[in-house]
Amino acid sequence: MYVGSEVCKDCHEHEYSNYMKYSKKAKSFDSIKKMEKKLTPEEYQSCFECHTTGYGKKGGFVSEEKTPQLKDAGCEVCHGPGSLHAESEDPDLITREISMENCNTCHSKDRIEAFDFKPLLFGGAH
Amino acid sequence: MFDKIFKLVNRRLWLRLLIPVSIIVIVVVFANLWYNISFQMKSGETQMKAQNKMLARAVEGGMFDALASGDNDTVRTQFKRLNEQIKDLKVFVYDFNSVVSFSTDINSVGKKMDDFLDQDSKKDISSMLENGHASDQSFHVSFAGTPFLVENEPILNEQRCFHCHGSKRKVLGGISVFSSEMAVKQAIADGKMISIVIGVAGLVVIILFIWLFFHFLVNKKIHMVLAATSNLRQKDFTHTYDVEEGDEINYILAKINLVTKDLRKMIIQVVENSGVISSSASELSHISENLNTASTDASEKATTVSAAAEEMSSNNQSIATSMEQSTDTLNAIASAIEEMSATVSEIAQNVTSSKEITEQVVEGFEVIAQVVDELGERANDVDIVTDEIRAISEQVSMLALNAKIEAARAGEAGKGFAVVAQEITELASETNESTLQADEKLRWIKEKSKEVTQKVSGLASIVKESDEAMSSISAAVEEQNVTTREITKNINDVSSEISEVNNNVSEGASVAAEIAKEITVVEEGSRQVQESSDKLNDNATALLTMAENFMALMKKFKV
Repeated sequence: MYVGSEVCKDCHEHEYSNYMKYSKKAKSFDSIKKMEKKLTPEEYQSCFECHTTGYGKKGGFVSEEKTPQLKDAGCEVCHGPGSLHAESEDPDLITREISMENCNTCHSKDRIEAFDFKPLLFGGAH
Repeated sequence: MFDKIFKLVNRRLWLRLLIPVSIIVIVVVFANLWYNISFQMKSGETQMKAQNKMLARAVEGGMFDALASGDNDTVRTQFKRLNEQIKDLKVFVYDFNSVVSFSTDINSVGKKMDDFLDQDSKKDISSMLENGHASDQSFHVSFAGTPFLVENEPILNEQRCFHCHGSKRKVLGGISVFSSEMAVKQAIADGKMISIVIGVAGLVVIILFIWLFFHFLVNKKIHMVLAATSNLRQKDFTHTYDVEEGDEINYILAKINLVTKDLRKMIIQVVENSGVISSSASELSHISENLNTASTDASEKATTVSAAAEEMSSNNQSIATSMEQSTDTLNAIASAIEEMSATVSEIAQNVTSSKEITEQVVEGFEVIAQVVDELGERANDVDIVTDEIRAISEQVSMLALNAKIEAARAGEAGKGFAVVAQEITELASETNESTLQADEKLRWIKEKSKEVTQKVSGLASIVKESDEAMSSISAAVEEQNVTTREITKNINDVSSEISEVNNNVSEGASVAAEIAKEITVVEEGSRQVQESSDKLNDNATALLTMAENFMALMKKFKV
């Protein structure tokens, strides 16, 4: 289950602060929100996979109204669903080792070539 | 006013040259000005379009990265700064619905481009958003009284855009760059003013040059030409002009000198010839007058001759008539003479008979010789009778002679001859009577001879003498007969001659009539000559007048 980045704040305050301050992911939903009127609903929904957290996955983003805590690309986009980890605070219940392959879903080769959409493995919060 | 200007221009060659030159200069200056302005405007517009296009692409490129990362604020900041730094520039970024997303004019964001564009620009943007192609047409709009040149550029949906905009749309929107045309228009206006000033200055220089050229190089010589032509106009051919240099006007002056010289010679010659013409015309007029007088006289004389010819013809007719009457008279005379000849022949026969009787008397005398003596006394009576016969015969002879003479004279005298012939006839008759008396006396003598036989012998000789006398009478009568025949012949000849004369007279009458007819032709010819001479006289008079006028005209020339 996805819980949203706000849940991570209590334990990972410093990372959350950096994330919110420096990471574009923290405002990724705003980017598609700006485009909502200029896109078809289908096109708009196609943005959710990368501009929200866990869209199409169990406990992931459904809509801005139903799952507002998941409307940006939060911590769980890279670290995976964090409900168990948040509840148990067990580090093993969260993905800690992250490779570039995890990023390729959104930072695809085409997007990197198109608008230099390179992933920053430790950008923002890290 | 316009008339005065028109007259002034017409009277000044340099103005007549200046006006078309000025028009050409003005046309050239304004054509050049128009071309320069057009070129500058077109060039400026092209440059501004290129600049706008580059600016549009620069703006698009500049905001891409920010927009790709969703950083719209950065883009807005860029537009804000752009507006602050370049006041004469307006940039609008709008989506496929032509709704402004970013702009240097912050108030226009969220509005449609249609709100501040004209119809042509709207259509162009609409078309561009539909098919992705901007037209090459330039659009001019005005903001707050400031003209702007608009350049539209489409924002096509490319591969790099698909991430945010999807791939279904061909055109994502557009960028319109508005550049102020004030600077360009001001530069063009300045250039226009400079060109006008240069053109006017050039025109003034041209006017000054033309005026100086004409004043110092043309007008002076033209005044000489005018003076020369004025002298020619005043018929003064005594001047010769100095020719210094060989330009066209001096060439004209040289030609005027030659023309003046030729005209001077020609006028002198014409004056001399006109004097000759005047004299000849006067003489011709005099000759025509004489010809007129002569033709008038000829006409009058022809009329007289015609009348005379007619009178002569009439006289000839009268002569012919008289000659015919003379011929008739002569024929009558000839008839009378022939009748007289017959009478004379009869006389001759009678004389012959008398001779035979005389011979019988002689024989009787011989028979009655014995009474001849007795009859001797009576023989004297017979002798008287014979004498009377002789006298009558002589008178007849004389009458015959007279008749010959009268016949020779002819004419009316023939009538007298008829009287003579009558008298001859009567005389012959008397002779006959005398002869008869003689016969009676002789018969009485014979009766008495018986008684006077002896006396007859004496008478025998007398009778013989009487016989001889009778022979003489017979010869005379024969001679008279011959003479009469000759007279007849002569009368016939005269008659024939008269007939011939008559024919000639008739022919003369015909000739006279012909002459009268021909004279009429001559008279008509004289009349025509008179008319012609009248016309000739009129023409000669006119020629004389013309020659005198021409002479007077020629004398007006000074040579």
